[in-house]
Amino acid sequence: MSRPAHRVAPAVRRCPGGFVAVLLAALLSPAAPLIVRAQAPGATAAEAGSPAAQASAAPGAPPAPAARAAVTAEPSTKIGVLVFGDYYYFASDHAAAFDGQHGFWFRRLYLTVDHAFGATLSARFRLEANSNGKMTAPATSITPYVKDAYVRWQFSGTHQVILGIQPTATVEFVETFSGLRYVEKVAVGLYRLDSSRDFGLGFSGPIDAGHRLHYVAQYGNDSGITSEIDRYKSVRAAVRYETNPGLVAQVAGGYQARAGRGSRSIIDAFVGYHNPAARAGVEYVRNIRRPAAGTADTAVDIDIFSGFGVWNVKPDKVSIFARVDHSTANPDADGIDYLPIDRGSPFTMGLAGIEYFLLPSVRVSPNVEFVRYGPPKAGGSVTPKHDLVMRLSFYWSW
Amino acid sequence: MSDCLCPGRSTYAGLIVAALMTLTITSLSAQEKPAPGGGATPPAAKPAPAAPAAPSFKISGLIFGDYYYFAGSNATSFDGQHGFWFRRIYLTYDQTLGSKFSTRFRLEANSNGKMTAPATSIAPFVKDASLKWVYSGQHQVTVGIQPTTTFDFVEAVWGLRHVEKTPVDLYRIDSARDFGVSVAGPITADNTLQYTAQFGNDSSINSEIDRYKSFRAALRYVTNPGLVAEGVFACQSRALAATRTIAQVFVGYQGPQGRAGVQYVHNSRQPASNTTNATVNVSVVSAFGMWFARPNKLTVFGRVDHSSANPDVNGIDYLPLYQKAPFTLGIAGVEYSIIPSVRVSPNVEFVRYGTPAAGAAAPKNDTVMRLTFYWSW
Repeated sequence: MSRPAHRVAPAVRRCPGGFVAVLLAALLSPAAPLIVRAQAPGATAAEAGSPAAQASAAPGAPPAPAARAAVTAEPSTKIGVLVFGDYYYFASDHAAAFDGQHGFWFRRLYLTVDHAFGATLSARFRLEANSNGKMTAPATSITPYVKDAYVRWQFSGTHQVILGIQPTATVEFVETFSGLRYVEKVAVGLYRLDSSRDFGLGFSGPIDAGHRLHYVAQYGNDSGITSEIDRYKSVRAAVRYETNPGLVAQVAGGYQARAGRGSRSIIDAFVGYHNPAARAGVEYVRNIRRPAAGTADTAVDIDIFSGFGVWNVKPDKVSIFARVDHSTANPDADGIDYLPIDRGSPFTMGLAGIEYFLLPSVRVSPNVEFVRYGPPKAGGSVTPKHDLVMRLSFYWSW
Repeated sequence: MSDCLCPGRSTYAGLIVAALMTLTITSLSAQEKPAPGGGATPPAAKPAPAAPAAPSFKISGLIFGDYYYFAGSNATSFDGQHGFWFRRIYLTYDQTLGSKFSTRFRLEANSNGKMTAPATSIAPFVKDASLKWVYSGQHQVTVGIQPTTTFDFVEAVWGLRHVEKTPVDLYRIDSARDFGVSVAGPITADNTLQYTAQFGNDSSINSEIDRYKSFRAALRYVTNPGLVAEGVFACQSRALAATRTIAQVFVGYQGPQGRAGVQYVHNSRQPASNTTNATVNVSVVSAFGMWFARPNKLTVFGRVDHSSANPDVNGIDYLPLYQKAPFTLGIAGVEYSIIPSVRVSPNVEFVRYGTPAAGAAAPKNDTVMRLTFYWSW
């Protein structure tokens, strides 16, 4: 069964001055293997160590432990595609534009080209396209953009450096472990605490000889998949423990500098367990947003607890999954594509469904997402209408 | 109607037909550029090997960009900025259709090079879409969106496009692409003398929205190793007789230890007939050299351009220049190849301005330090 790749996730971020030191520290840290991934879509997550596990790797399977990806000595190129979306019905929604809506949409289309230059160098180029997730006019064509564009160099043992637009340390590992990206994003990505991509330089590799402990350190534009237009940068880092089957744990962090000495920082702690029959995990995230100096804006702190479980009733055929997140009010939540959430109230998001595999790489999943709001923050007067969306999600890749 | 000083429609057709009937080709491959980089694949005098008879395809990629730091810039939005950007991303599909035909489809994407909001995603667009027919001997005709004759060859000899564009391209004198038809081939039996003639929309990679077209032609002498030389003329018609012409002469030398070249470009821009604006003449002199200190491993390069004031240079992506003063641009750097197709290059670009036009403010000089990266497959 294919497992989503995971990669060595990292995560410590800070701002410029300390960036170089962090990167150098990563570079000089104990040698250990790193996961090279030349991956092709559909390839196992284990190929990984490499970013973008999520994509090609088939969802639904837990990540393999820091397995060393097989690397080829001869140049090779692979092309892969991944598609998922839904038929959705918003039985109820606090946002008038979504309330009562139903239809088809693609939440993700990937076209990926992976090239291995040899045993230690590889590159990925990936285009992504999505249906409009805001339910607003004008209706536009589904236009591609660059999602990944990086080169990976295994410079010493299995330690590697990645340059270009690549997955971020704060999102990638947890997303790979959950294995159901096509059903929903993980908390940090869904609630817009950090981007799933950044253009930068990342180091990763094992810390111990048994490859159970891994590090990742990244320095980047902090511009997601968009072009850079300022001088403010980000640092992310992570340390991860991993066994398979068995326990996994990760602590990740990020620091994003903003204009006027404003900043955002993220701390994420995740613990999970997986075996061939099931996987489960719990996560706590704290996002601290400091406003620019000289403004009347106030600091915003967001706390999120998330827990999920997946039971492989018939491995590679049927699985049952559920997840519950609880978050304090999040001023960015109303901008979430495909599932806008009220920005002024704490909320609990629940998700449950069944996944059926026509083939390991062709799946359908009837599922339901609901959001229940708590009392709004000071200044708010009315608790928003709850959200309920029923979906038939579909996924295929090759 | 005479709102254009370029040759008329019938003249264009005549030129193309004449070229088609008279010459013999070298597939000077308007499209196949040598791999950039020190020493890799300088332009060859001999035509490319004949295409295989059986249909085949190839998918390839090319990416380059920088970590940049603008230590000084005349443009306030760039001054002091630093970060990563991609100046080019290519995804190319090449298909041969038997021994006589081949086709190319290429998408390009780039980071925003203006440093202005809103920050947008890096969206691809069609850069090449062409069909090539080798119709007689080595003579070929190419139709579609294709490289322009004006600087395709010079860029190939320069070989460091990932470090910087060549002058005609960089200073926005002509576009790198046009949608049109071209004929190319050898004039002499040993293929050292070659011709190219091209007729196009003059709309670059954009859709055409007017009746004004362009004509470009080049005559080239190529030996390798040895001397290369090229003369180019281009005429771009515009509404209200605002015609633009380009004349360019390039001479270079390429050998196993290095390459060097000098170039002179004159660009004349007629004003629209309903204005009192004066004709704008832009003259550029450029010279470059590179030494393959360790072939396919380490290259040292330098280049100096001098240009008169150019009203379009403030719109250059990734390196906006001041448009009201003459300037001298210098580039120097070292390129290291991890493998021939994966390279890094620390380099510096600096621009020093001369006396600005009457009434214009003296600009701050520009200095940008970059760690340029390049990979392709």
